[in-house]
Amino acid sequence: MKVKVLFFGSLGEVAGREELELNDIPDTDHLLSRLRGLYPALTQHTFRLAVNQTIVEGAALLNDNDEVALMPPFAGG
Amino acid sequence: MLNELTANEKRRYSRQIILPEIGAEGQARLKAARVLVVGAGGLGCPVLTYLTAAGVGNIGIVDSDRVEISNLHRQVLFGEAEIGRMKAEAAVDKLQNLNPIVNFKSYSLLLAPKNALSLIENYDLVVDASDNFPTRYLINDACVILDKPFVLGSIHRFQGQVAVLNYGKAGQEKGPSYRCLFPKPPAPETVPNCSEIGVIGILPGIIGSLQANEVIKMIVGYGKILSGEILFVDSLGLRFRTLKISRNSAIIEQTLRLKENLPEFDYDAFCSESRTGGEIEHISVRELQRELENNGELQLVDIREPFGLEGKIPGSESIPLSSFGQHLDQISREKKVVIYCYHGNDSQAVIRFLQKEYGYRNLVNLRGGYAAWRNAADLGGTE
Repeated sequence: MKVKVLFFGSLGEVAGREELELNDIPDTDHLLSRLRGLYPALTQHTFRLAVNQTIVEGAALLNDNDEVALMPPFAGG
Repeated sequence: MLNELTANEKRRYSRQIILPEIGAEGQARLKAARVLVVGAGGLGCPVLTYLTAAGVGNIGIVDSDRVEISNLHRQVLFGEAEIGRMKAEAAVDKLQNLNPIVNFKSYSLLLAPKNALSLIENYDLVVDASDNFPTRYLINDACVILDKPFVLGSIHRFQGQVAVLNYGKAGQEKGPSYRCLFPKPPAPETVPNCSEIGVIGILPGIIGSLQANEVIKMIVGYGKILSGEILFVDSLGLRFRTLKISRNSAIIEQTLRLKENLPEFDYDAFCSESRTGGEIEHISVRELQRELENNGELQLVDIREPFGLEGKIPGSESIPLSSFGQHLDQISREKKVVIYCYHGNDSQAVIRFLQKEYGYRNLVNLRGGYAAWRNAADLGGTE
């Protein structure tokens, strides 16, 4: 089972990439702990998770080929 | 009752009046509308240009900054002749020429908790074209309290966000607010701004145009409004994605409870509190001025990059962020050292780094940075 992860804004700079595919991720809690293991600086950042283009409240189950976007607030104008 | 269009207006707007979605009635709605644009910078310039050209009848412009040469690549209302002028006033002069039948009002001041409600009250909707989180949260809270919709635009390097917030047609449930999307502001050291990380001029042009498009649709009442969603734009990969967001009624109620205390709410402190790691000591512009007047023993360090700067705090020395590592020996370990950047974000990151890696214990952040200093100076001092 694989999940596609998208890093928006400054999170792309934290991860050093804009996309990532991960296997065996049953839900968003597991996804977050995997991502924090890969990119420890993520813990300092504020962002929301969108599963298949809907922002989720709390943990959400993930299915094969789901797309999860990490969206931080942008400051600039 | 909607205002009748004059013959001149019918000619001027004829190409959009022909569109059945707009028509003479839509044009009359634009003429009667009152829109407040907060920020006349990268986003504000395209927003203001298109709202003015389209015939939005009453436009307020809030901006406390002056035009600098480093603004011109993206703030396309301004040219060399405007350098040094207040942006809100210079913008009105340009826009008046573009469309003299619009009523403009310029507010050369910082949107602040003390003035936000009385300012926004006079308008039907607000455009958030600001460039910092304290202002974004203030616009959100004031609009929720006053029950007005607002159009968010924000940018980061080659990417942008657009959303119509706190919007709902009469009798319908309202869409989400900014706090429903981001209940807490990010740690300041994780959000550098345009002056510190750079921005390509066309990007706010794209995002601001999308904001103006939403404003015109809302006023006239056609098309689909970007409510309940946030649009993410990546101009490098040319990717557009809309993410659905829900209104959180508990958060809205919390915001409404701020009403009585809004004028006293400290948005700078609120946006600094999610910082990570060790404590940082802050000093306000007022306190710094007092210390300087009393010849207090302190070192004042400006970490902004030197190109394009239009001024500095008297008595400060420049140690730009990019060359900071080579000049650590210049930072006193005995005296109090006040560090500032443009808005007070990068300075916090530098202080945290020096505390952690080099054991400094005498560093203080200037809250709000040089922008706050200059605003106080423009008001003729703080005392």
